[in-house]
Amino acid sequence: MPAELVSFRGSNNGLCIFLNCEESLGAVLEQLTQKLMKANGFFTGAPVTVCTLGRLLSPDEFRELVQLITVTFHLRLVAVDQRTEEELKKNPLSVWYDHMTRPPGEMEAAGSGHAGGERAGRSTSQAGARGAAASRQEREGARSSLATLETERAEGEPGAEAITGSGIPRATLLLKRTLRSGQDVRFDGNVVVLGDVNPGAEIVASGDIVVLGHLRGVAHAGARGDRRAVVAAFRLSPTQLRIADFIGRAPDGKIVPPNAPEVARIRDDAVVIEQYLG
Amino acid sequence: MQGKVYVVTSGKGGVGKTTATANIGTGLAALGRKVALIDADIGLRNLDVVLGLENRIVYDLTHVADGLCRLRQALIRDKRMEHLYLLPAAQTKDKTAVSPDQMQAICDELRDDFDFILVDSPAGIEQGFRNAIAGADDAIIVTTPEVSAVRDADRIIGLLESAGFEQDHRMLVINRLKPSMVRRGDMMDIDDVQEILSVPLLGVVPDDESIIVSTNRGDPAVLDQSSRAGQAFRNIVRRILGEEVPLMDLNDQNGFLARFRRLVGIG
Repeated sequence: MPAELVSFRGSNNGLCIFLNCEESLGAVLEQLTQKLMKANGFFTGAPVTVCTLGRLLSPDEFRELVQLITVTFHLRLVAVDQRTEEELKKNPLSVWYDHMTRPPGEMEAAGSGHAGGERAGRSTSQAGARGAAASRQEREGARSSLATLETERAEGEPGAEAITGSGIPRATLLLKRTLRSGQDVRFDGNVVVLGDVNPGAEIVASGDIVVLGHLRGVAHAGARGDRRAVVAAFRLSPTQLRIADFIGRAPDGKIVPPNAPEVARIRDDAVVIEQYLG
Repeated sequence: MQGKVYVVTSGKGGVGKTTATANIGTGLAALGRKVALIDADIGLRNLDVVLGLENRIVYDLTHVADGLCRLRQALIRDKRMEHLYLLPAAQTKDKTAVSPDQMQAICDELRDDFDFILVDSPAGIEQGFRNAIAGADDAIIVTTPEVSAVRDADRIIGLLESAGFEQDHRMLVINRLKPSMVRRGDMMDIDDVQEILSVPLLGVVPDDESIIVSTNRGDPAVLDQSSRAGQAFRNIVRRILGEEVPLMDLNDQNGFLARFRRLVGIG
């Protein structure tokens, strides 16, 4: 047996799997497979956080890892933590929620099976606020991973603040152009667009999104789980708005947004759009 | 009973593949059949817009192909039809994001749950086309009565032939026919098209301005009882279901009398 590449540790939030990825991932996955086989289904459905040590995985390796854990062994993947050991020591509790690593089942497609529960049009339940369309969808899977997140935050550990990434100064990407259909921007930080975002274009950011123009495409702010992230635009009429694990979509039929800047944020568990008052 | 997979294709762009897919699918669902529509036009998706479902997309075809989500999660239920579902294409990728094998697997998986699966093919004869036909049993070829469109349709029929689509698995829809132009001899008529393509005719759809309105609005014309094109698509749907429906009379559709009759509901 070669050196230990895989180690398991239990925590309040379920199982933690540490992978030493310095060498090839193949050997690591082989060892992981053996260990999970030996467990004989004991971990099926268990919430698990995977920490990859040594180096960052490529998207393909990432996919392979997620596939093995969620599809082959049916564990419930809470997060993949790709920080270095040093960062881990500083904030042992914090977890980066990566939107792109979300395992199958965590997020239900907007609209599928929920068409009956739509609330179209602008919500007047909040003064000066309008519901971003059908508000969020009830998503069981997302709920459970969210529960973990809230538990951690409630514990008030110093690391809890870092879960959402706030407090850490974020990088900001400035785009001086219009994003057209089919173009997408993914950035770990804030994104500012000096131009429009057309339908079919997509921005995914771990921080806030500001569009100095017309936002008509899809915007996902706080993609790593920061529910305090906002989306602001001079003219805010997105196809779909996502903040952290919430999804709002444009109401069906014609909508005429006010001719003024607006901000979308999460309030009381719903994505709401408010006038930007400076 | 296993569902049947149709690919809607044309070769040439802009002849109405997506409109036909949306309308035939909606029409079948309106008659109570369970229908799944697949947009195979990765990178230039439109079917979601024509159905008015763009704002509901979270997962798409490429996510399913890559195993990043389950098929059921990516299927979007139509906002009008209970039995109509859409598997949208990705917009930020290209045709190579999916392989014919993956498409076939997806189509086969859908067979268990749906009566009809319609695949909206992209224009062209490259990988997008090969993806679209990979899982299909039958092909619906859409053309307009124009020489260029018919030429491309002929090319496509040849490719379908060599891909194993036998004569009785190919059918033709002639779209955007203008009877007044045909009468003047300025447009190919049904016989001219048939003479070149010799594929069993599934239907003829007259040129109709209301189609542009309905696709812009995301409301398929097939549900509009006053639309001529909608009527043509309803006929096509009934033919797919095995009914014998005569071709509708396309003449006089723009005369005053016909408009008046339609207005009072006897046209």
